[in-house]
Amino acid sequence: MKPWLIAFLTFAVAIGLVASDCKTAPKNHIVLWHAYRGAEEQALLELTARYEAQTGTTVEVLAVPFLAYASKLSSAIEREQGPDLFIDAHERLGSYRDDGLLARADDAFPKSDIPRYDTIASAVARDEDGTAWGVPFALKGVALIVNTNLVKDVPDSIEALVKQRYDRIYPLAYEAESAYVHAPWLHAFGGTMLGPDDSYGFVGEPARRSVAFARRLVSSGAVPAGADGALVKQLFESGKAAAIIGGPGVVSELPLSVPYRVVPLPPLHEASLRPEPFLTVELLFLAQRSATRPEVSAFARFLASDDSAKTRVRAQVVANSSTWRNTDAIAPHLRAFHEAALASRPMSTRVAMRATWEPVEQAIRAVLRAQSDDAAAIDAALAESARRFESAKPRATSASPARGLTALAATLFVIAIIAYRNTKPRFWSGLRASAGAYAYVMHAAIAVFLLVVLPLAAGAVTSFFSGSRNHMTYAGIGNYVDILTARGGPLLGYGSFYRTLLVTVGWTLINVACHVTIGLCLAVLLSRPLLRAKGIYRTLLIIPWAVPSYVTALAYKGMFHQQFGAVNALLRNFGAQPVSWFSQFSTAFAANVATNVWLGFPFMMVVMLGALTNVPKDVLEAADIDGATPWQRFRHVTFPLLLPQLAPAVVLGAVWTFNMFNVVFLVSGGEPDNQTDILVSEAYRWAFTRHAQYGYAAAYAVLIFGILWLTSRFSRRWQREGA
Amino acid sequence: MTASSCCEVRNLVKAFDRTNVLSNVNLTMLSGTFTVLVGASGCGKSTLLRTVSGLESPTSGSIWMGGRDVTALPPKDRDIAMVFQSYALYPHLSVRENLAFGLRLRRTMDAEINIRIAEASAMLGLAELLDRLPRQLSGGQRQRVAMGRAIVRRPHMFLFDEPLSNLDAALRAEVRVDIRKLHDRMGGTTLYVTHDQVEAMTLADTLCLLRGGTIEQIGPPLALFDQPVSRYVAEFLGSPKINCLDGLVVHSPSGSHIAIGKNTLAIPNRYGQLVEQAVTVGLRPHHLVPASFDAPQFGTILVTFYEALGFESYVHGTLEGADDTTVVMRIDPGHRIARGESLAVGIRAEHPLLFDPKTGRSLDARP
Repeated sequence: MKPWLIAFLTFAVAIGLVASDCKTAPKNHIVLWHAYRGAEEQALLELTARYEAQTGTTVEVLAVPFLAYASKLSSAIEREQGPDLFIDAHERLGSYRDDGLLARADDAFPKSDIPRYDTIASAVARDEDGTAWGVPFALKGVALIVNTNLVKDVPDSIEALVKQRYDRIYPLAYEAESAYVHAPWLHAFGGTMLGPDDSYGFVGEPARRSVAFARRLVSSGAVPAGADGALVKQLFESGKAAAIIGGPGVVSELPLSVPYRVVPLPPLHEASLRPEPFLTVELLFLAQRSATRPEVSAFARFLASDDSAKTRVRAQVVANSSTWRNTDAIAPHLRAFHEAALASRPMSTRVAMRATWEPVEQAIRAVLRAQSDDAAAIDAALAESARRFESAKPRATSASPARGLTALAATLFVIAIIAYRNTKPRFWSGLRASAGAYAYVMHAAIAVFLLVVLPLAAGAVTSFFSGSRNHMTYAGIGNYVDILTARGGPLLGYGSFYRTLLVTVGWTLINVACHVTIGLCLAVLLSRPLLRAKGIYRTLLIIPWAVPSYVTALAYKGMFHQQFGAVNALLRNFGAQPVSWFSQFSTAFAANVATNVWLGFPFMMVVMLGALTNVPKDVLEAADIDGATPWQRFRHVTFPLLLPQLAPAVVLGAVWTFNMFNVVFLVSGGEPDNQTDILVSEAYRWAFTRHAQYGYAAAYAVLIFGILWLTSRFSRRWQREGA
Repeated sequence: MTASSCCEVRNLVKAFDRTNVLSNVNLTMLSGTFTVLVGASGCGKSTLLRTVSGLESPTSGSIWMGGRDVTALPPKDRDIAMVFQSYALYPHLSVRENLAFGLRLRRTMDAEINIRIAEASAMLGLAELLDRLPRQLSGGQRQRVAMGRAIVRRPHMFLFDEPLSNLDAALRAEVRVDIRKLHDRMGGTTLYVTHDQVEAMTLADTLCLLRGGTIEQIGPPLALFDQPVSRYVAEFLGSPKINCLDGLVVHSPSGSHIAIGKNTLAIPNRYGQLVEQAVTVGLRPHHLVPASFDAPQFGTILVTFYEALGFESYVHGTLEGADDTTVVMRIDPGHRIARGESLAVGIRAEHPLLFDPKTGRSLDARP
């Protein structure tokens, strides 16, 4: 048998083995997915064990990390491999249902059961037609958590709460720049995040009054500015915040030393409505493939039953209304969270809801960080956020496939011509002569094809479609036209492709320049023959490279925090004013650069250390004899000799920096107002926060690829000419 | 320090990791002379050169150039130029730029640079190569560029660190002559390091033979060849190597002679004081000749190997009656000698070289 045939057969068998793994589930075996931890997980496992003992059914419980939950779920179910039953937030019901991942839950949640659950929970589990798509399970929302040492009696309004003055203690701490935690204020003034017909809700009087209210909280010093969840929790634990807004997760992790009480959010004195927080109802969903399996419905009924709720209520706010009739045995904080949940507003299940977070948070940030209380500034921020929401909406671009196909054919033609022109004279006969050798690299070729070429092609194809994930329509080159014309706006306007490109190029140039300079200086220092303890320095200097970049990025984000960051603490020591790093472009950009320089210089240093050992010693000595000073020797001899190895490293570093998503996304997060976003993080936002427009994001990715490809081609030519 | 001395090395000690590579070296180079440092590997000759250049600093002792102490000065302030064994051309610069490099650093006028480059390239035949990069040149061409780079600087002193050892044999002989001619023409002072005794003999005005970090002997090349102070010097210079035979000085009524096994070698009477003393006799290959009337038979050689070089031939053999000591002799090319033949040999030498077998020092009693 020919070797290539053997290789091919081996590969085919391997594929077959992988494919056969997609087996159908055996009877009486149920797979359950959840994202619980701690006591909630314990309760679930206890119930599962009880059910297994009662019925003889086997249940496989899988805890999936929260952040990866949704994506793992949809990909697993699509491959027929996922759970039979899973627990997830109700606001995902809409997209799961539209994606065809769900089975109807009418068996598990018949109409007769409606009174058994809290009204809110029953309502969100059914659609307009009354069809049940999930079984109410638990309620998640936020409430006010107060430190009872500091707050004896909870005041009757937020204003009263923040009026209390303590020494170096915040009367209230919450994630002021998070739209989720800001929502109660908006609701209190009569607003909504998403209006009817998927219109943008963060406009008009309610929005204006809510942000003005939040601004007063922060500017009066009652609420810390720019705190994230971890900081809020830390402030409360250390007794530096008298009250915080948080969920059950915060409470369950509080140390025993902090005496606390949970109460529903007090009303706003100046608002007419109650400050309703967002409510998330956790539902038990049945996967599509389990639609015909009554045992799955039976298990779902068991988990959601009043009897099981008695076990679950030890750890969570169950959705069973009967459980709450006698609350003596229930922990006080869960009682309070339940009370708060009943006064909350379920989050919209519309897909468009996801696209509201980014513009709303931009508006909130813009107002909270503005220098003045100017009403006009607030209006401008709100108008800008509405514009962003609108401009990020999927375009109803549709094109006849003919145009796109023509473009594709033209592209392929150009590629073919380039390939033909670059083909060496005896390319084809050479290919035939070495056909045998290709059998040996076939496995690698196939792997590269599957792992690199195929995704690249899939991404390129995706870029010809527009619309959000579940409603993609063919758009031809519409996405490219949209991007390259800045969606009809000014070419260098905020968020336009060209402006982002400019930022990206500037970002790349500055970073690479710093990487090379610092890397080179350190390499020269480290290569001095007389330096002692060289190994220690070298190891220390390589550490930034060895630490995963997201860890470094998060650490730097913390260090650049306006109030609690190490950088401002240092500045204060020198008597300087603390800088609000992420509220203006220059400082936010500088913070990003600082982080990325820290991450990137060791690579250049290592490359240069290697290159320096290749500089012949006697040539340097010849320069000494010829009369060069150390600097002249470096400038005229060492540096030119490093160039051949520096150039590819610079190209590589430039590509990495150009695509350095981690730093931009985690440190500045594009702040202020996406101004520091680079092309990749911008593409990410189109795919994951702005109506899930994969096609549009893919077009961005193709453009990025094109830019980098062209640049590296030109730099290679430039290098060859230089040599 | 005399007025005409260009460079002087005084009591120089250089130690690496407490091992003395040079111990107490004193050396004076007169202006315009060609001094060659020669010695076996590791004798310290390159270190001495590098210390003079300033690339190494001495552990103790001092270096004087043109009447001033330059021990603490970096190479660039010593007015020297150096040709490296590997040539050490700047790989990224053209030949022209290689030549101009040192001048540009010294802010020489462009016109002056061009004149000097033209002059040097004419002298060395580099004119066609000026725009090439070093990697486009052959070994000999690179060597010439390296010399050109030294010449354009017009330094007071040229230093050569085994500049010919990377060339093939034919080219080496040619360039050797060129270097000497160049020296004579430039009139500078030259310090030249080599391990090749032919280079050393042919180039030097003053030959300085180093051994284990000290100067074994210094003087004109022929003085070292003819009157070596030790068996080491005698063996180092001359190819093929000098024959060393163990012998005993014997007095008899007919005069003094040395008994080498059963063979005897007459010596002048002035060695009389060496009676009954064991000596090492040094006989150069050309001192041994086939026995004749002029050169009466001294012994018989059993030929083990015959080398015909065309213009002369060497006979390798063992000396009968002397514990079969191996000897080499030079004969005229006309002789045809086969392996296994016995050859009666005589000696044509004014005097054999005599060494103390224990210390290796010369026993030559002549003034």
